Amino acid sequence: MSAKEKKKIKKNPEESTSTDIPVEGTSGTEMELRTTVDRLQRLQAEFENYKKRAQRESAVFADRIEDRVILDFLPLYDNLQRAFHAMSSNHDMDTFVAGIEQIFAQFQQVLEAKDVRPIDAIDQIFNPEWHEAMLSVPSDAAKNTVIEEFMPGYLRNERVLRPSKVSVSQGPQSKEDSE
Amino acid sequence: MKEKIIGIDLGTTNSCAAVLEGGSPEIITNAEGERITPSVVAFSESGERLVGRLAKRQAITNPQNTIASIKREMGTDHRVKITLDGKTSDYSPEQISAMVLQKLKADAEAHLGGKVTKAVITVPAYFNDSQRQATKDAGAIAGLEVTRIINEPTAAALAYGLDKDHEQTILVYDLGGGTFDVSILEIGDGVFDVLATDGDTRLGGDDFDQRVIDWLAEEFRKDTGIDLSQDASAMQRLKDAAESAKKELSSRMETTINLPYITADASGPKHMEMKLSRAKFEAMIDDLLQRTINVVDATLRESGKDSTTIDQVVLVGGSTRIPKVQELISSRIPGKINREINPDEVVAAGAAIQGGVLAGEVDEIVLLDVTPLTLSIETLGGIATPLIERNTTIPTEKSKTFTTAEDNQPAVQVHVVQGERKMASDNKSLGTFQLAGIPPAPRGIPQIDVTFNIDADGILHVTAKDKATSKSASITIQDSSRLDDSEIERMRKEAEAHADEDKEKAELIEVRNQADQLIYAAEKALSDLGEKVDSAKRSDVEDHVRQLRDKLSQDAGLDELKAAMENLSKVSQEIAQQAYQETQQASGQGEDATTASSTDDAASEDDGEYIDAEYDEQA
Repeated sequence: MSAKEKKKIKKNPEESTSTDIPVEGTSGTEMELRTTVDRLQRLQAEFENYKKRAQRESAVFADRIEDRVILDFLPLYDNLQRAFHAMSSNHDMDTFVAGIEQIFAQFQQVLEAKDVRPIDAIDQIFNPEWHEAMLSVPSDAAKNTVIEEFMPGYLRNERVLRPSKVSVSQGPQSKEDSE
Repeated sequence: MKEKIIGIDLGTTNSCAAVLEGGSPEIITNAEGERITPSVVAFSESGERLVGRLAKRQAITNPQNTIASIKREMGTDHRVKITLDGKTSDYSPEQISAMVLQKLKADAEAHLGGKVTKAVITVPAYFNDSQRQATKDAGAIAGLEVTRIINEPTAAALAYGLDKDHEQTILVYDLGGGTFDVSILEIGDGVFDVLATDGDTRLGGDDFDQRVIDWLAEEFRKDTGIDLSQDASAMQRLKDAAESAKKELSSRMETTINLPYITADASGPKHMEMKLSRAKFEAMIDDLLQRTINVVDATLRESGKDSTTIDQVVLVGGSTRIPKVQELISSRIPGKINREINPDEVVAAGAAIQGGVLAGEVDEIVLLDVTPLTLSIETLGGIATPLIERNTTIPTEKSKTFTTAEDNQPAVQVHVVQGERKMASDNKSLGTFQLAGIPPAPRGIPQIDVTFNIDADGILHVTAKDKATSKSASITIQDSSRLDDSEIERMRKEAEAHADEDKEKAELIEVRNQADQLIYAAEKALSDLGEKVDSAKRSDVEDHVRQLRDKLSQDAGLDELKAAMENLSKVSQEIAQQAYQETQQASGQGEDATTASSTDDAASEDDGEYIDAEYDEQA
C-alpha cells in the first residue's frame, strides 16, 4: 500500500515532475526537447547522487568489515589478559609459557582461517614480488639468495599482504665473479 | 563514446594517474592495488623490466640497474647506463620516464577496459622548455599523445575548481616525500599565470621520518648503551615505526612507539617503548618547517605580492597533513586553505579534469549544481526533518509521507527551511504554506506526501498532497541554492559549533513526541477496551498517564521522561495483553489491543521510510 506507492514514486521521479506542464507559446518539438533535457539532467543528477551514496556506503561497509576482523582477534586479546592475570597470582613460568603458546596457536588458527600464509624467504631466490631487499651482503650463499629474514612476509589468497623484508646474498666476495 | 584523456602526475618519487568519470576525477588503482606508483624502474638480471613497487623492493640488490628520481634529470643529456650480460645500453631520462608512463598507461587501460592513447601530464612550474619537451617526448615513447603539459600547481588549483571563481591569487604549497615547491598563481578568465615559483629539491617527508628515527635511536642508546644504527633489522623496524608515528600524530596528540625485542645484549632481549607527543615531534622538525616558510616568503617577495593579497592556499603532498604545517601557513597567510582533496592525489585529479576539458567531455556533460545546504520541513516540536541532504546534485526529487499531530486536524502547515541545524527555527526559513481540507480523522491516520523537487536552476517546488482526497497545495521557492559562499560557510560553521547542543535538543523533543504518542495510545486503548479492563489496572494506567503528563508539563529531562514512559508502556502492555487473552478466549478480534501494545514500537521507529514525525496544527 503506502510503502509500495512511495517506492513507485521514488523509482519514477519524472512522473510527478512539474516541469512537463506545457508552457504557453512553446511548440511540440520545443516541449519535447525541454522534457528530454530535463530527463537527461535528472538522470545525470541521479547518477551523481548514486555515486555519492555508493561512496558513503562503501566507507560504512569498510568500517563494518574492520569490525568483523577486530572481533576475530578480540578473543586473543582476552586470553592474553587472562594469562597476565593468572601470572600475577601464580608465578610459575612454565604454566605461563604453556598458556602463551596456546594463545599463539590460537592466533595461527585465526590467520589460517583467513587464508594468511607466510612467504618462504630463507634460502629462496630473491623475488621482488614477495621479498623486499633491506640489505645486500657478500656471503657464501649463491648470489641473489635470501640469507636473512628481518620481518616475515605474508600472502593472503595468493596476494602479497606484506612482503618479507630480507637480506640478500651478493655471492662470495671475489673481484671477478660473474661475467 | 569519446576517448578518455587521462591525467598523470609524473612525480620524482611517486606517480599517480586519474581519469574523469561522470564529471569527477577518479584515481586509477594500479595492478598492485595501490593508488600511487613509485617512479622507479629496474632491469633485473634476467633482463626483465620492473616498474613501480617491485622495482623499489629490489633496489638494494640491484643498485646499478635500478633508477629512481629520474625526473631530476629530465631535459639534460644525462644517460643511464645499464649493463646486462656484459652488454651496456644507454637510456635517456625520457626513455626511463616513458617506462613509468607505460605502466601507468597499462594500468589505466586495465581500469577503463579500453585503449588509452592520450594524456595530460603535469610538470613542476619551474620546468624549462627543454624539460617540458622531454616530458612530452617521454609520453610519445610510451605511446601516449601528450595533449597538454600543465604545471603541477595549476593542476592542483583545477582540482579545487578555483578556475571557476573570480580573478584571484593562489599560493600552492607542495611538500612531498622528497621535494618541496611553492608557486604563486594568478587566475583570471580561466587562465593561469605563474607569478613566481621556488622550492627545495631535497626537503620532504622522508626528512621528518629521519628526525624521528634519529631521536628513537639516540634515546635508546642513552637508555641501554646499545647503538641500533649498526643493526639493519632494528633500523628497518625503527623506520616503519617512525613513519607510522608521524602519520598518527596528524590526528592524535600523542603516540607510543612500541617495538618489543628490538635487539638483545648479554643480559637478554631489549624492548623499546617510547612516547612521542605532537609537540615534541613539531619541535623536532621545526627548523625544516621554518625552511619551507622562508621559501614561501621568498616566493611572495619574488611575485611582488603581499601575504594578505593571497586569496587561497592549496595544499599538495602527503606531508601537508601535518597539522603544524597548516598552522604555520595559516598564521602567515590569511587566505582560505584548501585541503579537502587527498594531497597525494590532487595533482593527478586536476590533470584528469584538464584531460576531460580537452576531450570535450566537460562540455558534453552539463555541469550540475549541488544543494549547498540541507532542505527540510518543520515537524512536531519544531524539528527540521530533512528531505534533501546538502551536497545532493540537482535536479532531484525526494518525497516523504507525514501525518497529523492531533485528532481531526483540518489542515497542516508546511514550513520549508534550509540549513544544517536540528531545530527548524535555527535554520533559514524559505517559505510556508498550508494544506487544508483534511477530512476528520484520528491523529496519525492521514497520509500526506510532501515532495521536494529542485530543477536544474535551483528552483524548489514543494508540494503537499493528502493521499485520501488527492488535494494538494504547493509553493515555489526561487532562491534555494542562491546563497553566497560566505553565507553557506557561516551556516555550516554554526551547525558544527552547535552540533552537540542541537542533537540533545532534538533528542529531547523526539522523546517528548514519543511520550505524547504513548499517552494518546494508552488513553485510546483504555477507551477502546472499555470494560474489558478491570478497574485496578485502569486506574494504574491512568495514574501513569498522569505522571507522564506531569513530567511533560514540568519540562522534565530526558532520563526522567524515559523512566516515566517505560512505566506507562509496561502497564499499557499489561492491559493489552489481558484484553488480548480475554478476546482470544471469547474468540473475538483483538485488533485494538495489538494497536495499543505496538505503539511503543511505532513511536520509536523514526528513521524508516514512513517517518512518524508530525505536523503541529497551526490552522
